[in-house]
Amino acid sequence: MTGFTVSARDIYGVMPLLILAGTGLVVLLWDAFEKVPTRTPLFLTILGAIAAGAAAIINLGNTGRIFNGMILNDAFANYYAVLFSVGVVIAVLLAERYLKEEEVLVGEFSGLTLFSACGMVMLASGNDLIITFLGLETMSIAFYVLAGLFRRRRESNEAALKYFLLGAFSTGFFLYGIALMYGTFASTNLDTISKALENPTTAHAALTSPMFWMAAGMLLVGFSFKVAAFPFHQWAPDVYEGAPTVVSGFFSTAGKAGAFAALILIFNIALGPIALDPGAFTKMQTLLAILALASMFYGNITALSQMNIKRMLAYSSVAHAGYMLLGAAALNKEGSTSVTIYLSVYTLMQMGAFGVVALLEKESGRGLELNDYAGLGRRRPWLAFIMSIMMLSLTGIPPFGGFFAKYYVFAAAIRSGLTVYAVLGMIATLISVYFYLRVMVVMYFREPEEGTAGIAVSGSGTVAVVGGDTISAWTALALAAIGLLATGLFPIILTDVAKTFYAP
Amino acid sequence: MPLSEIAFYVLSAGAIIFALLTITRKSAVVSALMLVMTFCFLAGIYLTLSAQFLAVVQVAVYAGAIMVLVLFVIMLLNLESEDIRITSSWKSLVGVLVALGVLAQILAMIFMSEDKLPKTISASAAVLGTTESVGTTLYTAYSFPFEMASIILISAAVGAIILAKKRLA
Repeated sequence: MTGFTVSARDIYGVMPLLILAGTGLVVLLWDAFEKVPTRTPLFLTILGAIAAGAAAIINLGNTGRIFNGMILNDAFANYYAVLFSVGVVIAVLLAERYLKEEEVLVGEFSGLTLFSACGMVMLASGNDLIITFLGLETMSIAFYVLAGLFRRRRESNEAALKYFLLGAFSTGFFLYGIALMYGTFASTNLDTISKALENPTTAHAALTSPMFWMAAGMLLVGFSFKVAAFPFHQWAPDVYEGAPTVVSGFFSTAGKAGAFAALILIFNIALGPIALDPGAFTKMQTLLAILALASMFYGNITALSQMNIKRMLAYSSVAHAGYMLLGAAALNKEGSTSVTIYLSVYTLMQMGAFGVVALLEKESGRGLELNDYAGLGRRRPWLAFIMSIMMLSLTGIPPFGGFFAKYYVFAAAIRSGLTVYAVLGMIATLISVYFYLRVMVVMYFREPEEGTAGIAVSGSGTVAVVGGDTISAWTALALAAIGLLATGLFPIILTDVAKTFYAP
Repeated sequence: MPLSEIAFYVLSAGAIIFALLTITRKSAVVSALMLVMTFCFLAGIYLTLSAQFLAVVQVAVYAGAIMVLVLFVIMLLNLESEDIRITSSWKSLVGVLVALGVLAQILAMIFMSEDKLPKTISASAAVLGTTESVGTTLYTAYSFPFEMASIILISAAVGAIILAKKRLA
């Protein structure tokens, strides 16, 4: 144990993480020495994220464990590192003008976004519960601050405080779960836990002890909070509404992806051998599937009555956490692959939707009601078109990526014996059609009311628009839309990559 | 009775007495100081278990740094002037229930795994608690998480600065 020394292989393996962290430090220092704030930090952030993504792509072929078995350096971990880098790039591209108009601190935004991405990479490559915990905390603490970046806006302060207090509480649960896991297996290493479950005697001892189930439950509570799954979602609508729109988009996509990556590493991979004990397997599956169903129905039904777009997207993100939990409930490698595919697509579509909202947002949080979108189809046809793509994809209508994402998740659930839950999940999806398509109906078929037409004529410059059209924002939106079309038309892009995760 | 056992009873009695004082004092400042004493007695128990490093950290971090922060907050809020009393009965009821739940759980854990608990401190465990062995482990096997914890600290520091900054850039 103590004979371990860091070798070059270890350093190369965590290169994406080091690049993200290094860029974060450089950006913060750059900002500190700048007399007049410029956009350079944002530019550096994009460069850093691209470099990290490239390093992860180079590492994609690696297999194995580094840092004394603590860190995964395989296709799974590096694929997620690429996904997070894409998330950072899209968020920063969207944020460029938005932050300037709202006088938000650019350097701090960039630095914290990069640090949170570090946390996500740790989550996706954590092969030890200690790393998972550190990753969760790194990501969350950066998020708490990001939520409160609009210091003058009361909603933003409220969002940050709520997120922080509830987040700290859920961290307690998670840490307690880790302690109990350690109590059960005498190790926090996921490989060791997995091996103990493969051995019939130790597996029996673990699975019959209440300690194991309490540990699994506590971990699940912690994760449910981070991915905003029912009944631990209460923070999500308020935080997404109060936080800067681009930041909300980043929380609900990359943040969710990070937490889900760790969740499937623990539940689908490390606890995978639980399948050898049918009784325990069904118990664990039911636990996850019920959480999934509750999230789907609660999220979709509550979203029906939301008139604020950001709140609607928040509740829809609760429902999407449910779909992904259903994939995770398969408790096998297929489930893990399906969740990964879902997350890739979801990041693009949710980020795109929040991006459009950010572009249309007006000063101090106005222009976020559904009625503000009336007539958008005529005044801003391209923006309405992009929003329609996002909404159709979120619903799960082909030819966009959202359809295949849902398909794989439900297929994984059905093949692992969760047919009833999958059917109920499809019914929940049908409910969601109403509020996603309502956005399109409002954009194309409803005329703006007198006096509220501001948003639709914003292009002329009479009304101050926060987001504004910039090349960078359009690049981000185009990236998301093209990504969705590509994954929708050629889902093989994703399945081929995902297949390499568990290649022998 | 061996010396270590006497030390255990004295230290735990002290910890319990000061913990009771913490929750019964009216003045918040006095409560906080009683909590400092509780932490010090707990540190003593760690020492008897030959976890020297943990004992020092307990005093330095909990009894020192964190309690100083707590005292600062109490004094800034000026709680001294108004006596803080939990008025609604259901709040204290919930508190009691949670405390009892945690107690029941700890007791259950101890009795469930009584046969697995070591009766004496083994030679290898005695070395584990020293600063040297903690340091060696931190810088070798746990070097990566140790270094990565710094990112959390930087994020938190940046967050504090953002909150405290007077003027927007």
